[in-house]
Amino acid sequence: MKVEMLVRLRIPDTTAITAKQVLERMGLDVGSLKRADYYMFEIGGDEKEFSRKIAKVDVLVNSNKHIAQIGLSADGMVSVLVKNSDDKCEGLMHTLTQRLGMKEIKSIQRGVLWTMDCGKETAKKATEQLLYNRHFQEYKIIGGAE
Amino acid sequence: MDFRNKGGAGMKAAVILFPGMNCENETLRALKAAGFDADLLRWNTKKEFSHYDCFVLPGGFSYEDRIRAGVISAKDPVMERIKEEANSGKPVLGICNGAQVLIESGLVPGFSNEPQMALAPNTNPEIGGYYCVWVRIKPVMKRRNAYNLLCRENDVIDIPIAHGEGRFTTREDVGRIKDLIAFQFCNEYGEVEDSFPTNPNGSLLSIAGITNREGNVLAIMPHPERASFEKQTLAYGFKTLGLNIFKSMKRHIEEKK
Repeated sequence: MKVEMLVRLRIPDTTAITAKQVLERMGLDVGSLKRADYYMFEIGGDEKEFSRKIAKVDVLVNSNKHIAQIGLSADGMVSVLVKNSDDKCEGLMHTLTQRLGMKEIKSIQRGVLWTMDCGKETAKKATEQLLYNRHFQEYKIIGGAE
Repeated sequence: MDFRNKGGAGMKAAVILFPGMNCENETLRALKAAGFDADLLRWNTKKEFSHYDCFVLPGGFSYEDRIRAGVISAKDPVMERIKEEANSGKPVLGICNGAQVLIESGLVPGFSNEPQMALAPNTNPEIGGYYCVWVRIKPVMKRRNAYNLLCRENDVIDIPIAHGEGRFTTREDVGRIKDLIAFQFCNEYGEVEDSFPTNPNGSLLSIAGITNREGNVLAIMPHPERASFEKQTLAYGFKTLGLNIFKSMKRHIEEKK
């Protein structure tokens, strides 16, 4: 069973603001640009119970500045998930399973989810020209119109 | 020793400071000790670059490492001006975050305007993330470049690293970049070992520093400006061989003039 979680900032996201400014300077209008940390947990056990627990783990979510969302919402915007190709999440896996006792976790993937208000082609250009480096990362476009 | 007024007459170096870089003063000090008349220029300077003989991008955390270390600075308009100067043959040295900027800008290895390498997060069996320690590097002497002119074949340079994203890697043909390696991590005997701790970040081919094809642009992750003075090295019993990298750059410019 897989549980996806997004962690966004409640406070202004300076990384997203800077990325949008740089993309505009490069001639790419992506409309609004939002960023979230993405986690995908493969678990054995109750999905609802795990989702409730993981959204409160302060290693991942500081409720003073973050909002956690379980699952990816289909809001019509185009999203790009950028992951480091060889990120095995060993440190996080150890923390969650050994220190916090969440033994139901079998594997973890993480990345950054960029959400843009533009077409897929513009999102692809923005990703390839700024948001990822093909020499150690990979990306996947999720949703959005052509 | 006070190097504030000991710049070399006529040989001008510019240290380019992006927001968030923080090694500019020690880099200026090392350049002056090597004989340069060095200025600190901000990224948005309107100052004419043609007056300068070389450019140095120092270490730090430009733009807080937003998106990826060095990528925001790499897209800054000033990098087009730096590229023009590099293409004219002037030395451009990027140290740590400066190296990340040069790699993300494609200036190193310089096969095209796209990045042809990456400085990926360290792979380190003991400590994840930021890693700060003294390591050893050796110059690769089979190819002359602007930074090894005063180095010797058997030099083992004790030098600090301080980075979280310093692992040189590429999906290009490794054969294309192999000849461009300028410095490699090594053990105390000058032997290259691909394993931790000799290779402290998991860099491909133990790369610590790599140049462009012409040898005038160097991206180096360790900090030579922190291994240039006895006050930095004496307590550890190390030599100040880091200064030779700056002195080599000066010798290269003298030879070209």
